[in-house]
Amino acid sequence: MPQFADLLREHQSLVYSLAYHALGDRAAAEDLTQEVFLALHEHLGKLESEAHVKAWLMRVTANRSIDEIRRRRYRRGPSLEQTSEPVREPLQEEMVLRDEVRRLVATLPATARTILILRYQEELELAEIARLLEVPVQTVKSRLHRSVNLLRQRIARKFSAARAGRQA
Amino acid sequence: MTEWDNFEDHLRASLRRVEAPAGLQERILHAARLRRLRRQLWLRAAAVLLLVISAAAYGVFWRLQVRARQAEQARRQLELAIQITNRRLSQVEQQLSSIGVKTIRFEEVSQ
Repeated sequence: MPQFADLLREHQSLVYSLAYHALGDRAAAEDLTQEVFLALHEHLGKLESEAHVKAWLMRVTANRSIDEIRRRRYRRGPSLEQTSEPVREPLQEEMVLRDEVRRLVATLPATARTILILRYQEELELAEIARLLEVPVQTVKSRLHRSVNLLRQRIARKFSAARAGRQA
Repeated sequence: MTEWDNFEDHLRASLRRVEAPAGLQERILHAARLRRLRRQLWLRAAAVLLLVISAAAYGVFWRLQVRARQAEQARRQLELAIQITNRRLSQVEQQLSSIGVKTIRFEEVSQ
């Protein structure tokens, strides 16, 4: 079993990135990453292998992100860094599209958002996501499907309107 | 609208893993060290407190033991004094019997 410092070096980006995409806020993602690794420091003796450590990190990060999203929504609504409106330059469209996707992902409910991030950032199978979040696979499947469709519709609507505006 | 055909690719690109900022690792290691130190400090403080409480409890116990021993000693001394007094009274009674005094009137003795 690697030392704590090695595990930190190996998995810090995984944890930070999950938290960052879920919260849309660099400072909050750093704080959450620190909390998760300090918790790992406490639990390290109970984890058997590096594979367990990785699964544990993803589960704890996902659950804490969901809690934090809910707390923020209750306090002052979703916090977003990616609030920029699309710039209507064709060459930048790809970048704008990504920003917009991130912005819209940040408006999804906590669990749906986390499922989407685990699926598309970490490429996890639906069964793995279900195991991590302790929800039925069917729930993961339906929420993912619903979220992707919702995002697709919103993005299509937004960019069609932008394009129509440019052509006019 | 070909760009929407592979919307999942857009999602992957938008949600791709971002690198942790420089310095985060050191910050976490520092916090972990601090937490360990703080816990050690608490453990030591708790150990010292336990030691003080144990010493105080032993002190009280020892004091109670000393008092019990003193009380026992006093009881034995009293018993001995009673025994001596009894013995002396018996001797006096025998001496009085030997000279034929059956009863002693208080007024005669006091005179």
